[in-house]
Amino acid sequence: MFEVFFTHVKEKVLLLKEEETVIKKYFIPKILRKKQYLLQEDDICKYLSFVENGLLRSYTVDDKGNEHMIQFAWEGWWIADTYSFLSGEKAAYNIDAIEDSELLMITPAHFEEMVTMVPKMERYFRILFQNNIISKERRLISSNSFTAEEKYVNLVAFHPQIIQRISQHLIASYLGITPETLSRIRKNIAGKK
Amino acid sequence: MLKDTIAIIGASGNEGRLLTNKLSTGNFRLLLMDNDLPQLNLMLQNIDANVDISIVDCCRNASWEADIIIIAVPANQQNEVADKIKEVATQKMVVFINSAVDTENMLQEILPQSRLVFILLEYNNKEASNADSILKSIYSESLLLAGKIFESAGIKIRV
Repeated sequence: MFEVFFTHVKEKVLLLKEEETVIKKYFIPKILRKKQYLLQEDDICKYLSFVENGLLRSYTVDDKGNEHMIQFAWEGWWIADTYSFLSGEKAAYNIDAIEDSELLMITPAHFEEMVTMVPKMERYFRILFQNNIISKERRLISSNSFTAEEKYVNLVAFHPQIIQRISQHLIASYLGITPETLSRIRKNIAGKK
Repeated sequence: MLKDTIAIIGASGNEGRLLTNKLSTGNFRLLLMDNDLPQLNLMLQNIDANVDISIVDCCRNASWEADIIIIAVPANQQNEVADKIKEVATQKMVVFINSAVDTENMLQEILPQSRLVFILLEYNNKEASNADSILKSIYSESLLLAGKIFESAGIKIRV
């Protein structure tokens, strides 16, 4: 149940067995079925969730009912409405499962207690948040400066599994382009090979 | 607002059926688990089709998927069920119905990271229109939450 989690953590910090035992008691193991919500907009995000198995997405919905993808989270990724989780304010995001998923969830109070009891986890999350900032900066550059084709190529280069697991219309939404444009891009790329 | 998922382990017993019928009127997603599968299927047929309810074949999987776990099996089987679900019940509320006397400490030892609530459920007949319950827990938040859930399902509570 914690295999992927500890593999991921140990890429960044070394943990003793006793520390792993302490960490485990703070997390809620949860199965989420495909299409089941983890969080709805305007609720409070009560959990920071690690994906042990499966695939989730976070997204907003505009006034016309169109969905705008914020993030995909597969095995080894964390997902939450970070602002809501940290502040206790209403969430802007919806989060649901694209596939049946196994999660490990932690509340803000237990997060604080865990990093106090196992200070190495403070370092782990600091590294995580650093990487998250870098990733968001990259995405901002991509969004502002890249062509649609460059965005797609860049995305697939960093996350090759995305094509196998996520539908074209969700990928298009994530890139901020129409499914038709994405389809054209993929034909162009296939034609060049 | 998201619905909580409640697993009812031992759903086809007297207390399990009572709780299933009562909780099916509330805003919950219900997962029913029992060894008596034909009885569970029969129960489903008698529940409103709009209720979000399904059968899970294993108490561990039902508890893994649930936010709240209700253990409605006979008292002499509760230790065994607690042992089966201990890995997936961490930080979850686990409600024991009509436990044996003086088993609370033992059950808490099996489930040290779970929020245990003990409920003495009394009812007059199978329809249980006058269901009454006494709740007990060392976890005040869980006691409050369990009380709210049972009250919303039309079961009188006493703390």
